[in-house]
Amino acid sequence: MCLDHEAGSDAAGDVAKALMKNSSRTSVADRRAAEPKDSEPRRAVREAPDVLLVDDDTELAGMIAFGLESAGYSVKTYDSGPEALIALLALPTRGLPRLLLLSVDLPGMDGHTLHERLQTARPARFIVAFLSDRDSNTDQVRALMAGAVDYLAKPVSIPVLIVKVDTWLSRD
Amino acid sequence: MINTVALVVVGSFQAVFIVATLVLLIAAHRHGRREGAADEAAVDALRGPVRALMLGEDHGESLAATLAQLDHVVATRRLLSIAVSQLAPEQLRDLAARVRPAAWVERTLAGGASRRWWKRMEAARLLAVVNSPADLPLLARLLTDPHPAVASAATGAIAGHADAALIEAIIRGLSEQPTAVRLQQMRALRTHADVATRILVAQLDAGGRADQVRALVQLAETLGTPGALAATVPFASHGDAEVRATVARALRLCFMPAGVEAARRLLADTDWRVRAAAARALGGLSAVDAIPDLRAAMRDEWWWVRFRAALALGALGEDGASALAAATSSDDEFARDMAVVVRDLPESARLELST
Amino acid sequence: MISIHGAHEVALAVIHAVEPPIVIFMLALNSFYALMLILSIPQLLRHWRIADDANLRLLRAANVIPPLSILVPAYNEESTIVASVLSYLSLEYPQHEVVVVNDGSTDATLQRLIETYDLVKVPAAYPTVIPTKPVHAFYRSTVHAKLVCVDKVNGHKGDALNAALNAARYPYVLAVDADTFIERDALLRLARPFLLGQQVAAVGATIRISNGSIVEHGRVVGAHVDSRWLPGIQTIEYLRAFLFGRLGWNRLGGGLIVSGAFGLFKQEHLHAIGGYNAGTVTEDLDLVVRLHKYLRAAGSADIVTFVPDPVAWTEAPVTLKVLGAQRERWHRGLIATLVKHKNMMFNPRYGVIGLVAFPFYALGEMLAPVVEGLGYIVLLVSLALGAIDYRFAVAFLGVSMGYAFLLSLWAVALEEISFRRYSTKRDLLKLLWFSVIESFGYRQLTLWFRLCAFPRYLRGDMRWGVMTREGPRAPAHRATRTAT
Repeated sequence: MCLDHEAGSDAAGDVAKALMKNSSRTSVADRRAAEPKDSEPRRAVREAPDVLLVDDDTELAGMIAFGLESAGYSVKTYDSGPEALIALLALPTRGLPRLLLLSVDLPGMDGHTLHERLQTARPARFIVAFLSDRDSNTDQVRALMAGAVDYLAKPVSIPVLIVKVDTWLSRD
Repeated sequence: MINTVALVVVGSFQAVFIVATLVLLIAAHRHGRREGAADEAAVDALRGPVRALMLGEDHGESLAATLAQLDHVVATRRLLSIAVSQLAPEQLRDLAARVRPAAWVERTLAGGASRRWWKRMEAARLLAVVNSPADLPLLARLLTDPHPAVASAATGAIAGHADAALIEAIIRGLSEQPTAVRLQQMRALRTHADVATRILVAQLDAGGRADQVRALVQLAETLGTPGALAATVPFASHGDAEVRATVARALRLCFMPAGVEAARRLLADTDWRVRAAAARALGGLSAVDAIPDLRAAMRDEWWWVRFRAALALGALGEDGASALAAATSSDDEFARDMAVVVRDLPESARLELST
Repeated sequence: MISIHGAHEVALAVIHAVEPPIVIFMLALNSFYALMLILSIPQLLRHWRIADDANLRLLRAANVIPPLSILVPAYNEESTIVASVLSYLSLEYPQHEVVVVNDGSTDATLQRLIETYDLVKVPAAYPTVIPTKPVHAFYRSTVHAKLVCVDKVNGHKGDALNAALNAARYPYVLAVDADTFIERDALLRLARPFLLGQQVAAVGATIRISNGSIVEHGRVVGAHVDSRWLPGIQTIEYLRAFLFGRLGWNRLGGGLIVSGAFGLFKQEHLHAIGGYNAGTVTEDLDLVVRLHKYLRAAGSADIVTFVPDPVAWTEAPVTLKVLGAQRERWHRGLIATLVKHKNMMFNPRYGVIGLVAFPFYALGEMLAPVVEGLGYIVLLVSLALGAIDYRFAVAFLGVSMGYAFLLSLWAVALEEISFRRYSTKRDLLKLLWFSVIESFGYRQLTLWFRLCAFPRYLRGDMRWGVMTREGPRAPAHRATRTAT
């Protein structure tokens, strides 16, 4: 595991780093279980969540968030494009990249645009994966070309998503 | 004594039948050859146009034109074969819009009113590729066709129509369909998850016979939408054990506090199948709070409940693992044996067995 | 003391007495076959209409057919096991597993599997529903998640299958012989009854003779008819038996045979009847009869059905010795099964099975060699005594051979109309030629082999007496399987 390029990381980064070191030796499940035990870092994690979810389907977002939280991640959800962009740009620019789960059809600004603006303003700050109703090649190609790690067509299987999140966040 | 003349008469009939069968055999052989050759010629002629469409050189104009020159049976067969291969959804939509007005399409679709089920099936299969809003009444009829192969083939066309009345009719008919068709239709409804969820929730609220409720709960599991899954939770206390087992199964996708709570309750159900499914759901939901319940379930009298409970503990991180380790020295020999079996299973096997 | 003249008179009287029943029996039997043939045609068309490739691919993609476990009993198969297992693993199906049972092989069968598929010992995570000979170890492959292997003490083939039945995870199981070649899409075709909306307890399928065909990597890539007479004639025999024999019975709802070399079953039913019976010669026939019995008793609506598609290929014996042993064994198994379940005969409780299928198998199939043999004797004796005109003898032989030829011809024609596996003119001509020569020699030989089964059955019956039993029940509820 190579994390040395992170010169001065914040508290959340440290926690995540520790957790990820842990995960390299033991299974993801162990890491998940280990996390809630220590209440102090958990609160720190909450201040800068592991996963940012942008989807206007608040019910679905709620269920995904519950699933990821049970699996030991902290999650923050946004339900509109512009709101999400402002919040994301306001996040600290240092520390570990965070996972952004993005829907394509969003009020105010579509997911592609949001993704591309973020990539310009904060290159490589976010690991981006799309969750979308749209199944066309055009959408998938655009998302992947702009740097998304995956494009999941809805309906999304939450157990599968959790495992994918595990691998995305322990990669690098 | 049977006389020779009678035998000769029987023999003559035989000779006639033998000659007739030989003629049939030769005719069938020739016909088969001709059909094979026509098919091959069609495949050759279509190769270029299919390539053009796949590579985005055109939007299916040349393919539609080539298909139009073929016999309607051959054209139908070829289009179906092209459609199931690697065309992207939007390419398929382009192509469908282009071929829909062709005479051969009309001819095959007209078979949808035929008395012969295989003609209706051909129409249903074609409809799955070319369907337009005007075909809605035909589709509605074919989806409820008494022949399962027709209803199954028509399923492919559901994706093209976000029509609430059609979706409601499908959902109402689910419990009457044979299993394979029901599963197919449920999966097809995932493309209209929003509309289907709304209708499903209304139907669940209205209740119904046990088999109807089961079909609806299965649909909720297939759709996987929060609304649909939440609506199944009240049925965890349904009087029919099969319904409860179906709910317990669906709960493994129900990532919300009420879902976890219901699964914990079902772990104490009177029916072992329900308990087994509930144990599995708790593992899938990463329900760490349910560890004490799962430890108790390790003493269940049924092998499958103990197995599912042990696997679930194995999926619940460190706390689960230590609960499983504790069970290896349990005073209940069945719990002990099961804990050892699951503890010693490789990770890959656990995964394989718990999904 | 009876004079020679007197003996002659008696012989004539006997001949006159037995001849009409023999002739009527032969005509009735052949007519029944013809009826079966007619019944099979609509069935064949029904399946053929949706036998299309595009449909199968959709079926696979839709993932709506139940997962199934392939059960492979293996005893001393070191030379073939690796290739057969690979061909089972690569079958097209949404979800299936392969359960190999090493039935106490004395050769390197297990070692070959362990080396090739990186098998590792893991705990046996399944309940023992059917008691079997002790299991040494349970293995999983680390390179193919779909492969598991049970290593056990040698028992009967049925015992190995039972061990596999215990270990199988999925709701349907497919029993195969390790020497059967299976087509890539065989499982999808076998699943067609699900698509036809049928509730299935068992599905049989057509098995063909692989001799003469081109086989690559455990798969038949080009179907041809063998030029040698023995396998060639068996090709015709199999065509006939499967195309309309079983299909015709299927129409009547009385299918008694689901071949042990390739048959799909609902696992929960096999668990309920205690699996295969280790004491029988032909465990497949016995199993299906018990299954029918059970389905009736349990009031289940599940059916035993048949898919006419040619999906599995088996190697036919090429020597008379092996063929003789095979046919004798089959017939002995038939006799044993019919005797064992004789209470089903003419029993209206068992519907078509009791009223039609059982009497047919007993009077038709089982006794056919006896009656036919008697027919030959009577014919020869009458000719020698001058009791009948040689023209009558010729006409009678001609008619019975004509029947046989007509049935074979029909089978060939149906094959050419539907599946068309033997597509070259050369193969068709071979089939016709073998249909003709079957009546001269081959038919009489198999008649003899089947006759040999009777004395062996009578001798062997004592030995089985103690072992013949319904499969033992699982020790109650602590070990029962969920239907997931």
